[in-house]
Amino acid sequence: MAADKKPTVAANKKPWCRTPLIESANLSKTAGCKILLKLENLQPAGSFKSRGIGNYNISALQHASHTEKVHFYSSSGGNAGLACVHAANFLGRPSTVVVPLSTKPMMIVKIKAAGASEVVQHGASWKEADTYLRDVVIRQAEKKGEEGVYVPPFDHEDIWAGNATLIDEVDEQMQEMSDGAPDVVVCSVGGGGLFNGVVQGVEARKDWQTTVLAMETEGAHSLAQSLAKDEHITLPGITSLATGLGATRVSERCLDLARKHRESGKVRSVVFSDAEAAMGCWRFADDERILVELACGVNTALCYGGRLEKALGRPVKKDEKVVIVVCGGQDVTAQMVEEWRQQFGDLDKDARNGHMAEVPSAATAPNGA
Amino acid sequence: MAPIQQPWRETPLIESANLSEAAGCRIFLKLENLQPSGSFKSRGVGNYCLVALKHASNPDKVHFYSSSGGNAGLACVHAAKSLGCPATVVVPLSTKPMMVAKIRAAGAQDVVQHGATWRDADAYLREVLIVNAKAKGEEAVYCPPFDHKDVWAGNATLIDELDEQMHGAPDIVVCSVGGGGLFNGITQGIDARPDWKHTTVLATETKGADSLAQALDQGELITLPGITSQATSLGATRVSERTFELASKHQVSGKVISAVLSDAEAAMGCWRFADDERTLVELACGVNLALCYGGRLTKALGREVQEDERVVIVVCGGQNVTTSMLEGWRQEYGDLDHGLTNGHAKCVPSAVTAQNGV
Repeated sequence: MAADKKPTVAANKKPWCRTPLIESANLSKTAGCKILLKLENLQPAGSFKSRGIGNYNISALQHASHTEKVHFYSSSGGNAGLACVHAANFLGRPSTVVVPLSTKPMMIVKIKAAGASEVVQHGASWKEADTYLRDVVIRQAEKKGEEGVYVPPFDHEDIWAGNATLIDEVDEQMQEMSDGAPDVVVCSVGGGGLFNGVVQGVEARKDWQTTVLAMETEGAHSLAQSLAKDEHITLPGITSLATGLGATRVSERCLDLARKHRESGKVRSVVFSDAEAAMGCWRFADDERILVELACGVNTALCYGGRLEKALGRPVKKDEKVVIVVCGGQDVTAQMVEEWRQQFGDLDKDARNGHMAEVPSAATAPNGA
Repeated sequence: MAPIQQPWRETPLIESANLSEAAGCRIFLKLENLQPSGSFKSRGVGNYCLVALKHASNPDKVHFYSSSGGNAGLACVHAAKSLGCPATVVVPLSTKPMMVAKIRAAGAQDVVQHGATWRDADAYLREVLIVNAKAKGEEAVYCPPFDHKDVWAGNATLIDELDEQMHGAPDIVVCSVGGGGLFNGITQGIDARPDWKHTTVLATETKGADSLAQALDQGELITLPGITSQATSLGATRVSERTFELASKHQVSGKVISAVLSDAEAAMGCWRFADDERTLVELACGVNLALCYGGRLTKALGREVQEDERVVIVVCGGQNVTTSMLEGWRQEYGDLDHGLTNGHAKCVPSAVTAQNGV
């Protein structure tokens, strides 16, 4: 056998991987139906963004005039930045991330650990950092002969196409389990990049009667507000702690799709509080031993306290199959989750229905269950 | 009879950027925490149950029994459920309410608390419960936690998957040793592959549950007087004969290396892993991950780790962990490598989140 100095794990030709779809015994129990978790937290960059942004980078590289001069740039100090850096490394290209001064040290460390060529801190807000990136950093790079590629966090069809691969996998995986189409797919909405990919994937499957639950947190609910006002609005600011959902304005595509499918009920917009998202995080940590950000906890929160029924506007059926896109995200630590538990506690302490006393998180709520 | 499902699933193998950075080599994680019961035991105990059902005289009357209030009990209950059979678990009175809740949530027909120690609970199970069950016409099957060839064969499926997922043999496979069920399966799988003859197995234990290390030291199979480690999942006072046999045989050539780390190190492995990979594992598993930090892998191997070396850590999983426990460990044990300047990667998330800072 040829001496292969650096054999890689199973010839992964993309900057993202095929993630498991697992049935959660605990969450199925509390939700009263079959809960399937699509574990995007296992992507190389820790979130589903490895797909969309990975695909964007691949496409950009393919269309570059000089691939050896390509340098990827991002203004996200969050998961989009991480995905950009991971994908750039995978493609053998350098990457630079420009972030506002307010970015958490932990995220800076993560971006560097991911292998960014440089992390530049500039400006008080994302907008300032982004402007500096475009107007100064990329211009200077291009003057030096680089082919600077600005990587958007969500608003591009290549990103949606990359994210849509998630539904391709879910389709295959559910067929392997002889399960048929999911009845519901749950995903968070920040700028709508994930939502666009999910809906694209669902629409392409004519035999799927699937409902998509588009989840947001109060204070980052740009989609829900746009639907309520029937116009494409920009929030004055983000007041939710779930900064991973912190796009003040969803992509046009996201609003179009949500409007298109609103009447049929194929897409339902749902808004939860930060407290509910936090509950979703600490319970998920105890019931599945996986740590996810608030932007993701807003999805798992549906499984507790009868929230799924409320979100669907109808009773939940026992054999119903609900796929939760566990989007992941790196803005979380065990300490943060523990603090959320202490701060927000057991929101359903007094509820009689929908709260199953026999899952681990029922025993670990701080004020008892 | 209800349809039979395989009690375990194929798990992902991922290369960890953070742990590779910290360890100075290529760290791959075999995510057994994603098994239905939360640990690799879904394979071994699952296979035991599968085989028992196949050979049952009366499959409809099969009822599985376990005396483990831990991951083996959980694996038994989950496996029974996939096979369409009932399962009952008997545990000592000292078992944590959280674990009892988990066993019930998994779908046990009954969880009986009896006796002060595992030995008492186990004796009660065998001498009273199972005897009564058989008298009532049940085909009662006692599930051993680790000491059976069907358990080892089930655990060995991990190596089959690894073979498909990696191109070429890993240089090192790291696994914990409690009773040795996992170790036996892994070693069995490796021994069966001629082109894996250079693969080393690093068998880890915690001090106070180091039944294998002590046996190897003394040159004979010994029984510890008790378990003083907090990593109770490794709490077998005596490893299986097979484990001692394989470890002694391979220790000479260096194919098996025994390593013992402290509870503090296992705890450090847990909280760092939570911050670097966002997955919670028990102390029994943290002991493996601890090797990635502070130059511990080099120390355990007795030689420098190579940058392109491929090390697979069996993330055995385990359900005896919560974020509260983890935070407790972080507060109590903190950053063990605070004073070190070498071997401690400053560029991983857990370097920022250590209690006493870096």
